[in-house]
Amino acid sequence: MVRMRIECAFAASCTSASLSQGSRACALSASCTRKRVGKKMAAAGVTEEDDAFKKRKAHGMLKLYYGITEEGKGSEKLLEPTDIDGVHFNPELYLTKLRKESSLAQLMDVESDMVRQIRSLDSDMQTLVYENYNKFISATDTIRKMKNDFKKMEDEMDGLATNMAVITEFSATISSTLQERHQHITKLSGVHTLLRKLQFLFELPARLKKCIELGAYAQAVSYHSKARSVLHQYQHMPSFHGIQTDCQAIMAGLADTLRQRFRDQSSSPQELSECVELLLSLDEPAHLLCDEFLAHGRGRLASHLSDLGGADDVLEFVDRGCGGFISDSCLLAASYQALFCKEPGSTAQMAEVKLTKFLEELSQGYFELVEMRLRQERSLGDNSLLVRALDRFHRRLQAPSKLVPGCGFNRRGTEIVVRAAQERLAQYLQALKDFFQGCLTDVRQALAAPRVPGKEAPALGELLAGLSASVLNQIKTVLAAVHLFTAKDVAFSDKPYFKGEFCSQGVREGLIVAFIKSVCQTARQFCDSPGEKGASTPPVLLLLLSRLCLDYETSTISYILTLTDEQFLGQDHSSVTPVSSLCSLARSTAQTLLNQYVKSQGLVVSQMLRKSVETRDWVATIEPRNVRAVMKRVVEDITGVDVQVGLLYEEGVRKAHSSDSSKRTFSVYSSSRLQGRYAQSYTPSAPLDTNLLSNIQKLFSERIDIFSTVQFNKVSILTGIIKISLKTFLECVRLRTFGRYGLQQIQVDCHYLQLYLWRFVSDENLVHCLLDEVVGSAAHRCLDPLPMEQSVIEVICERG
Amino acid sequence: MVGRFPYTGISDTHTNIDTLPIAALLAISSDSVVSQLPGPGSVWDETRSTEQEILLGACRCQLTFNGRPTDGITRTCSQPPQCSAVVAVPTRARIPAHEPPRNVTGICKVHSGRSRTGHEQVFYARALTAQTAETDAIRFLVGTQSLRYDNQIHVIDFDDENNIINKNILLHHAGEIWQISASPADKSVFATCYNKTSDSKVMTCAAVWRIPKELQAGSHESPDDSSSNAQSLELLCHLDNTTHGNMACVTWEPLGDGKKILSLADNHLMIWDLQESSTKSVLSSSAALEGKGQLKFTCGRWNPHHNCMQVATANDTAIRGWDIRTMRQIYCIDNAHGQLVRDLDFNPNKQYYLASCGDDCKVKFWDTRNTNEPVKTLEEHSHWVWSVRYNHSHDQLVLTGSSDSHVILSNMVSISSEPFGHLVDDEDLSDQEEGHDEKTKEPLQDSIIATYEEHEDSVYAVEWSSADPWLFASLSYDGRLVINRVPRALKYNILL
Repeated sequence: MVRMRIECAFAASCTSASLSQGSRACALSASCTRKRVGKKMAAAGVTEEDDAFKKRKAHGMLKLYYGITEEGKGSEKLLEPTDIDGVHFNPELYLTKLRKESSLAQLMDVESDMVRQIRSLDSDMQTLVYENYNKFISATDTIRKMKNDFKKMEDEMDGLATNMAVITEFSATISSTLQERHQHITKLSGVHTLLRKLQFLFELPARLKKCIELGAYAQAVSYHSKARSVLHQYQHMPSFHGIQTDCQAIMAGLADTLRQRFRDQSSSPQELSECVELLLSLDEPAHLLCDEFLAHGRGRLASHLSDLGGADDVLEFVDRGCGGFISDSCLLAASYQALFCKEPGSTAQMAEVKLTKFLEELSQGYFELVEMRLRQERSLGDNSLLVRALDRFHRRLQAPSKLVPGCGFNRRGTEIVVRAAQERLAQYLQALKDFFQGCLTDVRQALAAPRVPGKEAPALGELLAGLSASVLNQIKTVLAAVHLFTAKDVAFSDKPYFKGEFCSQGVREGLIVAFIKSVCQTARQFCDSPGEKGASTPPVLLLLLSRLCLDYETSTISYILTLTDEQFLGQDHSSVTPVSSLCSLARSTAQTLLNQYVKSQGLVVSQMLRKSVETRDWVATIEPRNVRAVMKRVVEDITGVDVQVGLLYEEGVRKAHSSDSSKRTFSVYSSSRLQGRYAQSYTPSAPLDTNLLSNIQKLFSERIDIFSTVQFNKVSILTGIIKISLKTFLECVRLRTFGRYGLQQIQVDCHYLQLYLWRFVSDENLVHCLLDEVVGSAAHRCLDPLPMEQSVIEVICERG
Repeated sequence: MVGRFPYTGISDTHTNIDTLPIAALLAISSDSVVSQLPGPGSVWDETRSTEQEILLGACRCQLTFNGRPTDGITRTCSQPPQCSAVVAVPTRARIPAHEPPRNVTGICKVHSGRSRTGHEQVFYARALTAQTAETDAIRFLVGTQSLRYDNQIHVIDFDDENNIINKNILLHHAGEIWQISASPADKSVFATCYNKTSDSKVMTCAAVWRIPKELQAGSHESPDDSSSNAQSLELLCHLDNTTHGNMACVTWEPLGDGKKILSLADNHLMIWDLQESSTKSVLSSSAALEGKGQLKFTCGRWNPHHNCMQVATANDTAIRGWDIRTMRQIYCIDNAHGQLVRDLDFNPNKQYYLASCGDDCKVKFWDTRNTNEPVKTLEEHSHWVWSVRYNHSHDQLVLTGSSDSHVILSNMVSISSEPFGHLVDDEDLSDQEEGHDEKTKEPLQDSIIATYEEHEDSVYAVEWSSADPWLFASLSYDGRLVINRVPRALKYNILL
């Protein structure tokens, strides 16, 4: 209880102390604080016993005020009513408890302790009161002083307010006095401006003239444009109207001057654009200007185009074209667009359309020139030059095509490049063909060259190898040249055409395949030409070509195509001619050529035989002493052909060519057969049997196809030639009538042929058969069929 | 002769050949054959055609039998006086299995029978013609070539209904026959080119002949024919060529009255007038071909168009046209063929069109108005082409014979007188719907219709029948005459 009071007192003193500290605060708040302090002091005086709740509350509030928290002390202790320092201290309960629990001695101790505590508390309280009293006094003093100061200040403020009112009144007076004058000044300055403008207007014609004299057209135009609207507005007033007329006259003159300059061919694009700008601001109609501008440009560009013709090198040509025409048209387009197409609107659109049309027209001419020039580019020596030129051409077109997207420069340029490439391919194809023809001519010359007597035949193998190698080399060269078109560093090589169609359809089909086909075609032409009569084609050439075609079929075609595919056939998968079809073409060509060779060689021999049979009088001939020279010639020729063919073709297989079929045994065998046959033939007793025998013999010999297809080997070729010759012999014999010696001569001749021809053919029975038929037919056509003794025949043949 | 046959079942007289087993027949011919014979039991079947095929080892063999002493095949002969069997056509694997069935109508051997001395005569033959004036019976004339025996003209009748070949033989004593041409007006008259040999001199002449009356009358009854009593021809007149050289060709004016003959001798072109019922020949005009070397005509044809005022001739590789009124050359196709030109024929229905063939194995078709290049060229033969003939009514059918022993029938629609694919009339369209459909389905194209391989030796002559446009004959050097028909399918295709 004691402690609580002390605390109350302490709180009050603290409050007053704080008050004393804030003594300089305003008077009103100070008085307020005073009242509150007083109240608290009164409350402290109220006895605590009657209202415990109030006390506790005040106690709590104080605590709150001082921010003391007693958490550390434990809450149950605070709630304990017997705790003398607790909040809920109840003296009655405390006393009762003390009395119940404590002994007397303890009570005594508590009592003395309590007394001592009370005393110390009292002294403490006294000290506090004292101290706080001083503070009260000083606070009161401060308040009093403040009251005095405020009073003084209020007086001064009143004085100030009065002064201000006086000033306001004064100033209002002044401004009302000056009002009128100010308006006057404003008016005067307006008039001044107007006068200046008028002066400008009146001076305008002179000024404009001066400007024009000085050449400051831009200045003049800007002056005029400033004045124009005003003049227009006041044109009803005569003076203004005069000015306006003057100005218009001057400006018209100016416009004329500008137009003249505009039209002047020599003025530079900058000048031009300046002119156009001025003219535009002079309200010249835009479309006329566009037209004039373009017309002007046209002249310049056209002069560029006409200059182009002179260049002799395609690269130089393209360079000139790019430097002159393309860059100028870029410049033109750019300045034109800057002039006319700045603001979007109908004018800009119109201008754009005009420009596009204009450029299309001009570029048409340019492209035509370029194409013409490219067409002239026929020398196939260095393709890189052309490719570089095309590349440059294509690149340089990018700029104008970006500038004027509507004009399709890019498209047209690409088209030209593609066309040039295609043309190039065609040229290369033609060149290859020409080359091949040239090679053939060389070969023909080599074949036709007069032979050195010592040398038997021209070295066909070497000729063939040379021909084949040079053609292959040429193809490779061409492929390399064409490959430049698809090189990485060439800008147009990534166009779809060059990636796909160019490679497959152009190079592979159009160039390589077409060339191979043309080789076959050329070779075939040698067969079609009337070689039978005029012998325009040397047979050796046919043989050579057939071997060439056969080589093509076996290896060269696939090699060339593989080479081509490796270089060109990257991503394109369009259908291409398969190797097999080309091979079969080559093979059939080789076959045709070989057949033709056999035919023509057979014909040569046939003609000899035929002439020899037709021109002789077989009835009145003398007894045979010799083999006729023509037969020897036939054997010689066939031997020659054998050597010739042996140079190019393999031997081939013979049928039933046993080692013991030597000349001797063969002749015996054949002669006995012949002998038997004639003997029976001409003995009157057995005519049927002859017929029968010959029929039976025919039955078991194979049918002979005369002009049949030959195989690619020497034996087959020679068999074909011999068949044709002997069949001719047979047919000719059948057309003649023989005397006895005529028949014998035929016998001798046939025996001679048999002796020498069997070795060339695949099946010697074939020769037997045909010669048998010849002799048989001769016997039938004989008026006096008396055959010669076989032994005599042999003697004659051996002697000959 | 009989003693040569190892087979004892055959006597030299009066054995019925028809019952003879084939094995036996072959066995008689040669010992070497026996090993390859088929088993026994292959008996000749008379009910089948005149020729049969049996398998002989790996190859097929055609056999032609004859009950007559000759090796001809006339089966109508009532009483064969003698019997012999001849393996006439040994084929050497000639007929491939894939070959379409052909309509071989008949095969006939021209070999005559025995001579009076009783020996087999072997005749070769080159000359064939249809009996042009005959329009009812199918009749061909064949001339033989023999230097040793009397030559013959075989008059060959073909009975279409019964497939029977009938043959009459006439003797042509003058010499071996190189060419024969029948009169267009009188069916009993014809002309031949023949060899006359005398003392190591051979001369080719020409003459006009008449078939004796008796034969004409009884031609359909088969005469009791042994060659011994064969009749001789009646000589009407010679075409005198002593000053002109060897006759190469003789041909009648087509469509004419049988009064004019064209003959070619060496380098001379001659027109003859026949007077006094053909018994006198007068050279009406002639022309000579001048030039370097020895020029010789090989053949000539009379152009049936232009009122028969033009002829065409061939010499060496050139074809020449002549106007017989002026006897001047009107056109010349130099180098028509690479080698010798062997034969010519005019398209009977289309003016200016001419076919030629030659030693370059080609058949060429020309428009004589443009002689620079042929209209068409065929290269089907594998040896010289000796003969080319247009069908008289359907000129798209062209027949060629060659020394490769083949006869080829071609269908040259594109250059025929009949338009492509037949423009069918509207009326026809209604009632011939089917036929029309067929035609639109497969328009005819130039093609080879068939290759006939019955011949064994070179075929030197082919000829269409004058009576039946669907029938033709071909003659090979060994004397075999083959009569064939145009395939039925093609016939209907052309007709409908």
